[in-house]
Amino acid sequence: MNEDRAAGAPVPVHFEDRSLAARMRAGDEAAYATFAERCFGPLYRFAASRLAGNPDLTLEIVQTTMTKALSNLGSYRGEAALLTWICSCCNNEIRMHFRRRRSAPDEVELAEELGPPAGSQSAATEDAEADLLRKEEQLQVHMALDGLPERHARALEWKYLDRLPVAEIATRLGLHLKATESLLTRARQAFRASYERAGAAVHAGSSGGEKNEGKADHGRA
Amino acid sequence: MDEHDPRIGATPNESDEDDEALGARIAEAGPRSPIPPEALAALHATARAALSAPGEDNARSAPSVGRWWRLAAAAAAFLAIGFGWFTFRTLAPSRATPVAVVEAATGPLEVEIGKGYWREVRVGERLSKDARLRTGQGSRASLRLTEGPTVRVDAESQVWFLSAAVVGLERGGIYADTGLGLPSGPALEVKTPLCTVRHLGTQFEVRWIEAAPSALRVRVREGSVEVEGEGRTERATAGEELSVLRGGGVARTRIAGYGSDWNWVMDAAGQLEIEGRTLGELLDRVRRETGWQVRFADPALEASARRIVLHGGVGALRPDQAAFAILAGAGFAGDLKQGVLVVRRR
Repeated sequence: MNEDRAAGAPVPVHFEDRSLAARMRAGDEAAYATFAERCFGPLYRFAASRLAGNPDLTLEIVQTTMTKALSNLGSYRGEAALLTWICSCCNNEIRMHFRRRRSAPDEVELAEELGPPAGSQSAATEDAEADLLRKEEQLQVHMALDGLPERHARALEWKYLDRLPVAEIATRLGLHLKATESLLTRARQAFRASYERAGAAVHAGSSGGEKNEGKADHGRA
Repeated sequence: MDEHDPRIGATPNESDEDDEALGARIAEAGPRSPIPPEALAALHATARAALSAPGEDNARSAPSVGRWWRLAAAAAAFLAIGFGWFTFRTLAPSRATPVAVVEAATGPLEVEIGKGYWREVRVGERLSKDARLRTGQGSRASLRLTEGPTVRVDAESQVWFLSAAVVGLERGGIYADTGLGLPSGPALEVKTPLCTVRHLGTQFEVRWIEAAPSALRVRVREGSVEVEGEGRTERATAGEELSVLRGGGVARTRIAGYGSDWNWVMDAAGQLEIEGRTLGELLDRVRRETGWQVRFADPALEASARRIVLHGGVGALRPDQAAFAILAGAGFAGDLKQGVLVVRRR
């Protein structure tokens, strides 16, 4: 994504996310709720996709990421979306974890043995590369859905995944038909924005923490 | 993935074609695997703790004079509104000086927000000076005071956080550990109408005993405490229990620092984190939580335990249960007899 930006060109600032971070630091509960809704689910899924689905390790890494990132929230300047910044922090944590594991002495794995991070497996064939791209696309869509209010995400899944008629979705949501259509419209709009954010975050993770546009090494963005 | 599908990109106006493309994306991605709700709860706890911690750049940790004026003005406005003020206090967490953070809870906890009015407190939330916390039947909590000590609150208890170093016990029982992970224990006092219990580097429990003949019980697990009240000062050391009577009398008995009487303390501790710790560190923690003595069958074994790094988790196992699971996973075994855990090779 960086190559799109000409040298010396002004860095785009994510004003909304910068304001969100400032309000969170000031103790604004509504800002915290927005942040949690947008970032917790996508961040967890992002980490899980790179840690072979190991739930204990995923939670450990995500909690460490959250602690470090939020402790340094004052250094977030909005040069990357907040989710991108946090996913970059997470990517760094994952790399540090595997670096420590390689240099550690006697180790006892109480949980099941882990494979290498999915993102580090080389795609030997075109099929493998296509598979990797498909998985990234899947991750981006799922992260986008995770970043929506639960009712919006469920409504979209019922409509497009389960192919339920709007009337059935209305029944499940306890809404009238018109209100359900309106909710689906808002859900689609929210999904588009969430999909963009998730895309930037997935790319940040794939291209490595140092190179991503957020430069989010636990303190800079 | 480098270029977003233009049909999906954020555009102000939707069209049917856009909707179809969006739907196709969601359908192709397939169903999401669920994110464990306990993981999301843990993330909330972590995030709240990180935001409330006195970090280097946390704006809330060091409010400026100007900010206090703004807060005062805001408070005055809310007071003028009356009901609006009450609603604000009811729903919003405290912004006053934090003295403790809730680290773990086994059930609902509540903090007083006005005389007779309580609201639920979540794990990770910080409590301000003068906060009153109460636990219900079966709910226990572990809190870390900003001065460092850990305080565990038993079920059906009520505690008043007078400062980060002074805790009032109004009902039930609390357990204090002033040395967990700290080189030298910070100051801590437990105040009750009967007496004040002052630690001298220790782990101890203070509990109201409503039934006669005793009124307050102080049990010392490690180190010693000073109990001051009714014009006299008593000292209790590890393995002693003092019963402070309402008339001013004190009865002294011997107790064990381990066993079922201390189980509630472990129940309130929260999950035992083992990832990245050495077996030696874990056994130190188990010793502290259980009150057991930990011995090794031979010195080489202890050196080996100090080198072994653990990975994974032990779920919701209590420290006394987790110890055996961890030892087994690391190729060791443990024999427990009369509060002494002997670690040996399998």
